[in-house]
Amino acid sequence: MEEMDFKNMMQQSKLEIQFPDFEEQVMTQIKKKEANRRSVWKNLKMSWLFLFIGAFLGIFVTQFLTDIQLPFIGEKSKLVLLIAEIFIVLVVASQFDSLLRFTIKKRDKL
Amino acid sequence: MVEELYIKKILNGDTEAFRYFVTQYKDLAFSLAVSVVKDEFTAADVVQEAFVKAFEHLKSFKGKSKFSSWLMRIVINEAYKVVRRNKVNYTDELLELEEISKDALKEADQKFYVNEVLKIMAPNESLVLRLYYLNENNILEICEMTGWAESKVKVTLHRARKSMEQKMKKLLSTEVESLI
Repeated sequence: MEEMDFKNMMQQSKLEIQFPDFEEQVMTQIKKKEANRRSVWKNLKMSWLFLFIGAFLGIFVTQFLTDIQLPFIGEKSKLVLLIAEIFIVLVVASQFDSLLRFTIKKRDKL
Repeated sequence: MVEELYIKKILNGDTEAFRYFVTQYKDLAFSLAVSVVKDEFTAADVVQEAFVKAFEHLKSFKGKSKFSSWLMRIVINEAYKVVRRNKVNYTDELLELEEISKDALKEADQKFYVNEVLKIMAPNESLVLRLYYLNENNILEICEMTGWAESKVKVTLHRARKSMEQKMKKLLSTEVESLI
């Protein structure tokens, strides 16, 4: 068979998608993904905002607590406060780490 | 170029602009997907998945190649992924074709013959034939789309052409016999 004949024959090998709503299905799926992506970013921003609000409140509260005495604990009140401070710092640090990792992961994906 | 404009629109947040590419390339993508997966329903799923992936990774398209080449590469990769996952087998014999098409063959429709023969050919061969003769890609573009070496593309194309001719002859003689 000549090259030209073969080419002409192969020109008939184009197929058409026989599903009338195919285009709509693709666009719906894409819009869903896009909406999901946007909501993830929105939630991430809110998470960062509340983390900072929480951290500042935590700092404020610990500063405030150092000025008050806890008479029912007696001599150990300073130790209890120190433990509470360390606990708050650990919680904030671990949340900060998780959020940072998640943000980087999402930034690479989205 | 029009495509660049649409890409900019999409990257600026106009999701609906992606419809242009879906409309423009759905049939070609479908033809290539069928070449590999050999089934229309699976091919439609493959194409849908490929379009969604293309949309998600549009940022990574740097415009070094044609958009269609980039998109078709995604389609081809998705199709082969499905073949590997489902371990789809194809048969290069005409037995199945004889069973399903005794009546249909009598319609003397060349389009039907061509597509049926492509369906029973090896995925690599039918894919390369469609890319070269239907989409009119050159060897280098096919290498880019499939990720194959130039020599592999040339050998596959040569083999595919021979195989297509043989199968067409066999199919047409079968049809003549059935008519007599």
